Amino acid sequence: MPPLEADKVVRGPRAKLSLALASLLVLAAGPLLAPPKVRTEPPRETVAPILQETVERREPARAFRGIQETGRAAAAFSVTFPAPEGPRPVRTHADFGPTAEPPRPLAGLGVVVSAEPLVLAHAAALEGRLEPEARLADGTSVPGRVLAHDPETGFVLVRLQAPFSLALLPVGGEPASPGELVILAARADGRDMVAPVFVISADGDRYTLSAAPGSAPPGTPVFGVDGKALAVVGAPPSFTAHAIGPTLDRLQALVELGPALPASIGVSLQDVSGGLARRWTAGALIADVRDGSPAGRAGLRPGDLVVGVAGAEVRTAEDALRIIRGLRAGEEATVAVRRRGKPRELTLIPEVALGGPSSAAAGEAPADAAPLRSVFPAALVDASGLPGDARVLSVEGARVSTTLPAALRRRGPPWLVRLQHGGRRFFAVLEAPR
Amino acid sequence: MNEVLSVGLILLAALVAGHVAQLARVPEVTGYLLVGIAIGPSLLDLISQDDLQTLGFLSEIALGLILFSIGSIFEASQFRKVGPGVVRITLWEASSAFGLVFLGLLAAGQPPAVALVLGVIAMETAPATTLMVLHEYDAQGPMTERLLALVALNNMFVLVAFGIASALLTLAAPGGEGWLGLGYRAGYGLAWSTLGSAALGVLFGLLVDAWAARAKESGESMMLAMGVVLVVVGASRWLGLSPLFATLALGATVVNVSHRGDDLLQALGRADPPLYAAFFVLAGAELQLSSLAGLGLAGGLFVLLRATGKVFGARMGLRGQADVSDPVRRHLGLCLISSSSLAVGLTIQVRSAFPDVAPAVTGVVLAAVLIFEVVGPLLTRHALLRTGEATAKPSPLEEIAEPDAP
Repeated sequence: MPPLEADKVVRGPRAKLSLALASLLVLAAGPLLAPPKVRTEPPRETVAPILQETVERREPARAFRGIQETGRAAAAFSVTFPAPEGPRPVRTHADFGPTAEPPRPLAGLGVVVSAEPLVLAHAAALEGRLEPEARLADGTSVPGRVLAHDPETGFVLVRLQAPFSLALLPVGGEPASPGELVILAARADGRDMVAPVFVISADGDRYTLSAAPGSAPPGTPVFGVDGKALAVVGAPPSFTAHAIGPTLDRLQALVELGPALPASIGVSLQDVSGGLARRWTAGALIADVRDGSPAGRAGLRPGDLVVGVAGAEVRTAEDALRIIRGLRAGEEATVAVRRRGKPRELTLIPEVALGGPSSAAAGEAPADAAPLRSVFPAALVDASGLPGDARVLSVEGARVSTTLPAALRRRGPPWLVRLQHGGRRFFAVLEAPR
Repeated sequence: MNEVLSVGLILLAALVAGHVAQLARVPEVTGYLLVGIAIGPSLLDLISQDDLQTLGFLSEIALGLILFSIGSIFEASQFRKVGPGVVRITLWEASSAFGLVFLGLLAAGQPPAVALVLGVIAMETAPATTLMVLHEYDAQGPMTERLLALVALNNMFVLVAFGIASALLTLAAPGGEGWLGLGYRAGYGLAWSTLGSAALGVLFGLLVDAWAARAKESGESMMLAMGVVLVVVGASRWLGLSPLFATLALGATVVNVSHRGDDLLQALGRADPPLYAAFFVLAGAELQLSSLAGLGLAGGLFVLLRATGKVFGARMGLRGQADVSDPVRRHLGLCLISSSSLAVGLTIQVRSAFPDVAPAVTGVVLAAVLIFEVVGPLLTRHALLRTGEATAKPSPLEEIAEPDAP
């Protein structure tokens, strides 16, 4: 039909045929001229083969050889700690200062690290339970018991009560270095997952990974591209993974040397620094007391300055936390405090609790607590460096709803305020800018 | 959730989102993307990361079909009218986006490799989003005429530029190979992904022509067109070619060789809507809301400079083109803001080929694409209304809200 084709660029069978031949030639020549593949650049479909390899390595024979060779092994699959059903149990506060973060409703994972079976998990996933229920990849539930808890990192060592046959992998590949591709494996529904991530930076045995915060629950295992288990993901929201070897070493040292399970009295502590130092001497200031905790029952209050625990002197919050964690749960201990300058000594019975950087949190701020910025002049708030949206719980010990009472305003700064921000409560001093 | 359920859910969600979008006077694409974000892993997780991987092929098919129809703008007699001007605009808008982002990031202290890769990614404009918005508003006029050709050229240009950038990075990387070997490797990659892809598209375009006379019913035409598009997409993946380039070439060949080209495109048009809706919902689900947290200074600069570069570049490119009105001059750049799958695709290539720069690039691109993909269609719609090229009847509310639209 030549008339119809008249307006086309390529007309007639000969032109079309030569165009087709030219295209064929290019397509045929391309692969022939391709340079040899020598560079180690991973192919575009890197992810799938790696996953397959990881899965293949679950083959028991190879895995058990792994145990014999290295003496320590990690399973290529993980254990899930589901969030409990029904109302959530009362959370224990870590005996931690204001650095703690608000709780998150999440379950977590654990890496099986030995055939006993021991599982490396994170306290944030256990909701404070010392006897968590673990779910295996095949859906069965197994009761577990926490053996040790590392308050520094929040990781716990859990022994599962029922033995089950494991496919195990040798632990401890070479440490990953920044820029290296690693695989985030296993996830909450028990299925292996593929998430290629990069190690952005390495700080000792901690890696910062290139995945979005919160995209992996605590305890998610991280594999090197060679399929070796390298690390476990720590507490959200920081996307940090901790090398398995050193983390496990620390926990095992705690089991041997104690205390494997740190004691808690249910307080948040803060250092006496900055403007606070003009009101208190050295010690650990109680920023918050959890309702129903040993400290609460013994009558400790926010604003008390802890100067001694169990006979030992306390100069900083860190001192106090270290001593408290070392107390024996269930045995009486004394806490020396200063309340309005007067010394007091209180007796309480510490309990065991899984704290950890992410498990301490105050409840909701009272509904009538106003934001810092609406109570005080903006210039003052800005100069203080305090978050303007923090809720004001009290000023100089008095409840404040919307505005500063006239008496306090006349008195002028500095004002001692107790604030709630991001799920934590703490004291601060607002001073006149210089 | 199984795949069939996911696809059904996606289509129904898109249907609802389309209606809500019309009520809210935003483009349907925006509705699809937002509902995708909502049901995707970022929020409700009704479509999980796994589902996204399984359903990825749907997006590939849809993108192939979209590019096939965009390729038809290269129909010679039509392209001769706008072609030279459009080439000039493309060069201006792409290079000013590149230049501003590259220099800005360098000035902000980013490593040259990161600035280079992000600069190239900044050049890209989303073809699918743009086409969908133009269709929805039945756009006609000097800006619309240029826009599709512009987007097609832009994407080809970006692929070439990315090839050149990869070649530079390959050359800069320390390796055991000699300079010559590296140069060959770099040059080959570029040539194969452009020439090879074009050859594949042309070859199958000619095959379509040979068959077209036999496919008389519209059902047959549809099978022919869709089958060939899928084969080209699949074959280019298999051969390591660019599916994007190959499908564009396929479309361009069909309209320039076969008198049945228009029939084929129309036949495809009937099959498209569900697939396109699924494409945008999936694209939305892929967006990670949490990536916004990683935007940072570099990301902020990237977003700002890319947008500035596009708007400024489009204006400069239009200088001296007499048949263009002032509103078009001002608004063409806004239609180029959307950014999408190609940017993400390039990022994935960066990840496997240049892991050193990948984390910095990935963080910025994921966050920026989220922003551009949501904002882009809104800007395109705005530009269409302002230039009076949207001929679809606006709702009564629309007429009140946009009194100065001619």
